[in-house]
Amino acid sequence: MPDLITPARVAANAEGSRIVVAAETPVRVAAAALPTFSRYAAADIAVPFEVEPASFVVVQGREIGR
Amino acid sequence: MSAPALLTLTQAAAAIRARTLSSVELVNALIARIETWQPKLNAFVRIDAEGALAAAAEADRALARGEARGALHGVPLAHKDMYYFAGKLAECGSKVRKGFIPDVTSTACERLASAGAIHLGALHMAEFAYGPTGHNAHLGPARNAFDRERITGGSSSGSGTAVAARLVPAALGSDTGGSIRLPAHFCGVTGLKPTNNRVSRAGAMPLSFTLDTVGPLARTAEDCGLILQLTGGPDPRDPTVDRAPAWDESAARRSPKDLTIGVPKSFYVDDLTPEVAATLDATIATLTAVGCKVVEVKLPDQVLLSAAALIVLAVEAASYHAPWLRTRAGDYGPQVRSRLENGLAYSGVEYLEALRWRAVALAEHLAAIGDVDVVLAPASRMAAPTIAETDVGGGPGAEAAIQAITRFMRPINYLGLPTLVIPAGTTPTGLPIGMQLIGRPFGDETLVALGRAFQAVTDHHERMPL
Repeated sequence: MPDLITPARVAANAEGSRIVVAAETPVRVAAAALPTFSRYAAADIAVPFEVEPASFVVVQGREIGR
Repeated sequence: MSAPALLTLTQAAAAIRARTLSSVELVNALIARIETWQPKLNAFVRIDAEGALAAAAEADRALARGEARGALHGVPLAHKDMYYFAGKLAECGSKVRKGFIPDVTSTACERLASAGAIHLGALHMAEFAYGPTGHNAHLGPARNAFDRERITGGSSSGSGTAVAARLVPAALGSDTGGSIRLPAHFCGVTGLKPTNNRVSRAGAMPLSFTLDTVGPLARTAEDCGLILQLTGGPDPRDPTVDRAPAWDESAARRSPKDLTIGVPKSFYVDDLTPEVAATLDATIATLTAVGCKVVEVKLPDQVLLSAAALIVLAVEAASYHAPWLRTRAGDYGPQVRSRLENGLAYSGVEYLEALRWRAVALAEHLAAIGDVDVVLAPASRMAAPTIAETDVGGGPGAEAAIQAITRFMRPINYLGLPTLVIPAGTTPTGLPIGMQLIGRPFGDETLVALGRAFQAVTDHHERMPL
């Protein structure tokens, strides 16, 4: 996982998305996201190289008619 | 016969078909209840009494000619205000979409209409379906029919409280992070979040294209099954349902003696209030009594699944709303705006990693449950909290408060599993408590079968507010 969420990163994402946010928003967003994201990032989940989002449909479809 | 408004969906449809009840009588009975309850509950955002009565009169005339349209001939329904009807308002609980009139009808509503259902109005919802409590900065809160100082749950807030108060026999909600299941739990009704990719989302307001599902809230599992049967299946307007299987009625009537129920060892059983813990125990006892085999299951880390769901939801919601966040940010309520801005926390790489992991996570879940047909879990650690204590706005503590309410919801959305919430108990003060029956992918019919078996020997689903 890349670096953890910081206000600077949130501000940069907002700017890159052309969304104007209030001065205090990056601090609030970082604080809101960080607890959940830290735990997730720490797990360092390694997704197999060949897996793509549509692989979900393949796994799901194996259950049809079970 | 019970008063018409108190009939379940299936009972009402049968009575109309048998001509022991007219559609006009049923619509009038519901309108009378709505006039009494709407000022107390704020369940509807629009009521089309005149249109519904005209449609009911036509339905009665058609039936007299021997022309029944389908399984819901002449039965009035109302839906969350995010389902499009061509030429009618669909404001999505928002100021941003105030006055929006779509030029298409949602596939789900089109299919219900083809089955003969009548449209009675549009129901309250969280702004853009992005809130789990039933608060709405523009509409005011919807109120729980069992205690009007308490939340309905959201985002299908009006659907939950309207069905509970017998203002409609069933209603469509939507579930992206618990929005059918939480109102079902808090309001004491039955709610079915279908398997992702089973019911077309065409013509329904989007929130997260990965996680959105369309499903019913009704009084019984049987009624939820009927709605799913009518709305599900392939739709050229939504390619994600191309492989959706046809409804299997024999599976929806399978015996509970054939079913293995898994009870998680952790997460869903942690930190429950005593009432919810007792309801879980009682539900296990009932399922055992009807013949189910009950075993313990050790599920993969649900906190990680929940986090992945949050990342996917936050980014996709922000993406949908980016044009309005650039131009009309001040038109959002504070909480919805703050939650949409939370999508700015994540990078594109992180979002796609969370999305790619979904296939692996589902495979791991299926491996963990083995031959278990249904996982049983509480819908929430508690019964409905008050409107005042959950009125957290968009401030620094809002996200934590929201995550506490949706804790038992998000892993299921991430895995795309079907889940039926059934009323299963009450607190000493009479607040409903629901349990989740979490199925395997496309195992929706099994949930309906189990729900039917449970409701055949319990009466929690028959409790109604005074």
